[in-house]
Amino acid sequence: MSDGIYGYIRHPLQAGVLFVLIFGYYTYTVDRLIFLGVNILMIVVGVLMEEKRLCYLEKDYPLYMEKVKARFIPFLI
Amino acid sequence: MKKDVYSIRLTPFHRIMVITLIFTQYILALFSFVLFYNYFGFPIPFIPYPSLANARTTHTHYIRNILLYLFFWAQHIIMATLKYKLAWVTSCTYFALYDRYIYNIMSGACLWIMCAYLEPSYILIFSIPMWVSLLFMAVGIFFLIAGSISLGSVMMPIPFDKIVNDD
Repeated sequence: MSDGIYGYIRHPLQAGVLFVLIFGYYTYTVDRLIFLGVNILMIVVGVLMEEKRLCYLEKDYPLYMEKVKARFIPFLI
Repeated sequence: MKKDVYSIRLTPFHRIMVITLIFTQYILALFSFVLFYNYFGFPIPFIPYPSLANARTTHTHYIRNILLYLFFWAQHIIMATLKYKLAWVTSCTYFALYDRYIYNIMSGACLWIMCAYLEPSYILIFSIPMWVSLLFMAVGIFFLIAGSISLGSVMMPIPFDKIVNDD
């Protein structure tokens, strides 16, 4: 599972959702910040849980994590 | 004794059901994503549901909105747990065939409910240039498309051509 964009980041779908949610509009109201806070927290927690589960189920996943270090942004985080 | 492998046979009834559910999930996903984008992104004309961008009130409903966000996430998390899936599969083997479609349909329905009942207020904190918003949104859409292409049919329990053709 290191073909295409998965060779650069481990969670492209979640990264895409985060980018679209955060930059979905150019004004930031109190409600939008709460919306972003809840959703970013849930996505990040979900990703961490998924990685833990994949490390348990797939013996190659820790090697993949070593090879592709970035979760959301290539070469950064 | 714990049963790890379940054998299921695709009867004509199950093929029709699966194809119906596949189309239902895509139609519902399309509608619910449009409603969701209308809520958090640029408002879409003629959609009668609220939007963060053009909320008219400063009256706040923070608790109600947070509960609706958590309702949506609770559905996602509970229906993705192995415990939930095993509980269903042990009582109904064919659940394995329908699990992914039921999950997607329930996600779409919950997203729809959330968008219909949210009540955002408009208290501006800061803003960024519109081109920055559009640029990073394009990056996000690229990630979504590239990720979906790389993933292929990994998320499908049985490939579509097998549902239609194979014995």
